[in-house]
Amino acid sequence: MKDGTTKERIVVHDYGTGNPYFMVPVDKLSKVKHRLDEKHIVYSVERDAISLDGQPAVVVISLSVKSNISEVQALLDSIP
Amino acid sequence: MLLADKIGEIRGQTLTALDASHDFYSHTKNVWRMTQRMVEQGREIAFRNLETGNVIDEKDIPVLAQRYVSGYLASATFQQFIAQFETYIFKFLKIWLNQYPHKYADRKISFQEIINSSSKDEIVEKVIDKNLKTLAYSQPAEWFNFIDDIVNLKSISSDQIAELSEIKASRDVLVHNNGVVNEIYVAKSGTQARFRPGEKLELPENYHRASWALIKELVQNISDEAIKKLTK
Repeated sequence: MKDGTTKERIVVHDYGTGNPYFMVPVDKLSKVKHRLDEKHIVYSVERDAISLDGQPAVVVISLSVKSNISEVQALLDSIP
Repeated sequence: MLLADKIGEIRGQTLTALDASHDFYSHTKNVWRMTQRMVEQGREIAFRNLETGNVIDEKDIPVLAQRYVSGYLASATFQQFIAQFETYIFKFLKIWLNQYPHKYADRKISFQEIINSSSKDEIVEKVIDKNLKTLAYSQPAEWFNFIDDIVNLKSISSDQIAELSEIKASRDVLVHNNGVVNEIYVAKSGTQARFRPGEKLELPENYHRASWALIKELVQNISDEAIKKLTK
C-alpha cells in the first residue's frame, strides 16, 4: 500500500524504543483495520487524524511490542 | 456551603482537570505526529537543546517521537489521571466525614493529641486525616467499600472496580517497578491482568482512553449518588 501524498510505500517503523507504528491515510483505515482484525493482530488506532497543508489526513496505528512486524508489513504490502 | 454543593464543586474541578490532561495528551501527541509527517514528506528539521547541546534532526525525529508519545507522554498522562482520581476520592471522603464524622466514632485518640489540639474540630480533623491516610494505602476495592458504606453506591459495578484496580496496579508498576510487570501487579489486577510477570507494561491508546473514560464515569457517578442522597 502506498501513501497517496508521499507516493512512498507505507512502512511499519520499529525503532525498539517505543511501540511499532505506521501511518495510514484515513480513507484506507477501514480496509487496514479489517485486514488486521482478520489476522488477529493487536493494534491501537489513534483518535486524531493529522492533515498538513490541506493534504489527505493520516492516522497512526500502533502495534504491540510483541507484534510480528514482518507479518504486518506483508499485510500492508498486499493492500493495493 | 452545603455538602452537596461542595461535592458538586470537586466533581466539576476533577472533570475539568481530567479533560485538561487528556487535551494535553492529545495536543502534544498531534504535534509530534505532525512533525513525523513533515519528515515523511521530506522536510528538514533540527532541534538544538541549548542546555545539553544535543541536536536532533529529521533522521532522529521518528525514533524519538514514537518513544515520547507511546512511552513518556502516555505514561505521564495516565499517571496524572489516577492522581486526579485519588485526589478526588480523598477530597470527597474528607468533606463527607467532616460533616458526618460518626463513621469514626469508635476510633481512639491519645490524650496528648487532645491537649495539643485547639478545638473539637481540630481533633475531628486529625482523626479523619489519620484514618484516610491508612485507607489511601489500601486497594481501590477498599475505597469503594468505604464509599459504599456511606453513600450506598448503586451505579458502580464490580467490573468497574476490577478495571480500576488493574489501572491502579498498572500505575504502580510504572512508578515503582520501571514499567516491568511483577507478581504484585498480577495479584492486584486479578482477572483483569493484561500482562505476565517480567513483561514490559504497555499503554496502548485504546487502553489509555478507556482508563480516562472510566475514571470520569466513576467521578460523575459517585458525585451524583452522593448529591442525590443528600438532597432527597
